[in-house]
Amino acid sequence: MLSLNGWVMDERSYAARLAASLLAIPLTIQTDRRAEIFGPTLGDDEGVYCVGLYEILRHFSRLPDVERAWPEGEARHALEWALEALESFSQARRQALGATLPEKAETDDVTLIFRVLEDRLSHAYLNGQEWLSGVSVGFIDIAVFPIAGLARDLGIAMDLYPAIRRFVRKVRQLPGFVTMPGIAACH
Amino acid sequence: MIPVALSMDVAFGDVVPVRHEGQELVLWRDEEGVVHGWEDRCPHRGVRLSLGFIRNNRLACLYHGWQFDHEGRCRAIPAHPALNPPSTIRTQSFHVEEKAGLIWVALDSGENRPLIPPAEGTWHGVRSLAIRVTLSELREALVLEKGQWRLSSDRLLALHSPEEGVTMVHLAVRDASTRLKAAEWLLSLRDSMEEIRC
Repeated sequence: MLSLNGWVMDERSYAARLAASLLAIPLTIQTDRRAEIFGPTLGDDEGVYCVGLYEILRHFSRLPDVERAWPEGEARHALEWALEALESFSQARRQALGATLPEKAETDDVTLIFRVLEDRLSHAYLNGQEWLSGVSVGFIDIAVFPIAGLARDLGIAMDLYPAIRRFVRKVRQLPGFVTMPGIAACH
Repeated sequence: MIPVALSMDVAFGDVVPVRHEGQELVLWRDEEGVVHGWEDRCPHRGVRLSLGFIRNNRLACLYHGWQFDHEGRCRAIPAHPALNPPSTIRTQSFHVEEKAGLIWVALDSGENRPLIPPAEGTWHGVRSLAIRVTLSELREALVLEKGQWRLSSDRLLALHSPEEGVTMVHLAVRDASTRLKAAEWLLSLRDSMEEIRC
């Protein structure tokens, strides 16, 4: 069975767990604090062979029972943007949560990520697409969900982003949705 | 009245935060489809009700789960299940109207409420977009001397001010097939306004 080495507070580890759960991929979870800095790793009894969220999602897409196409063309750019955005958000969140004094956590980079995400989600909605990945939830949506779901940790004012709110609500309703600290289960 | 959101962005089950010139509100829609607008503050411990969730057709606070019904009255306190909460425990509610594809809230009581547009026909929400300019700058650009909205041909533009230097623009159209084009126009308005400001 596949084994994920992740850290419970790490957004990238959460995205890997969420992907496995939504795609019904059996997975055991090992706590590994190193994932907080380096991201999650995936392996099996013979050792580790995927390092980082990109490789893990790519591996999931190749599994025989997974009916999700790996993004190509424009969609690949969208996935790359989503992974870079998650990395930036993750750094900003670690800094905010680890700060010795309260500070303004929403950096200009984070604001830009939210603006672009809002524009992309709104455009997809007006185009009649349920998800950023198309008609069904896919890897792009899974990669950006931690950003949207953990916005409050950075003090992001969610009244400015109605499309992101709608996206969070839709993901929460999916069968197989899992939580992490900061993303409550009671909604 | 102040336009604070598009109707399509407040579905049943959504709990929506709204700010306007320092006033923090929460919007939610009940099972009957009626939208409620309250002060975004639980009367128990002051936590934002917009962090809460819908249970039993009531808005429940995230902190201790106190549930408030459509009148804003507390109906259940999970820590004291046998208690019938006194009627004095209630949220501060505001008059809300839903017209022309938008949700309008009366923050002022009395007759000084600004008017809302006529709701003839069906309006389709396009999107609500935050533009990093002040309300007065946007009013000037849109030639909107007073009031919170403007009708131009088949488009309805409405504004509110969530924070200093940020204006929320709500756009609705009469013809649903023009929504994408209208959204592109709104993005170009944002780009040009923010560029001018820089």
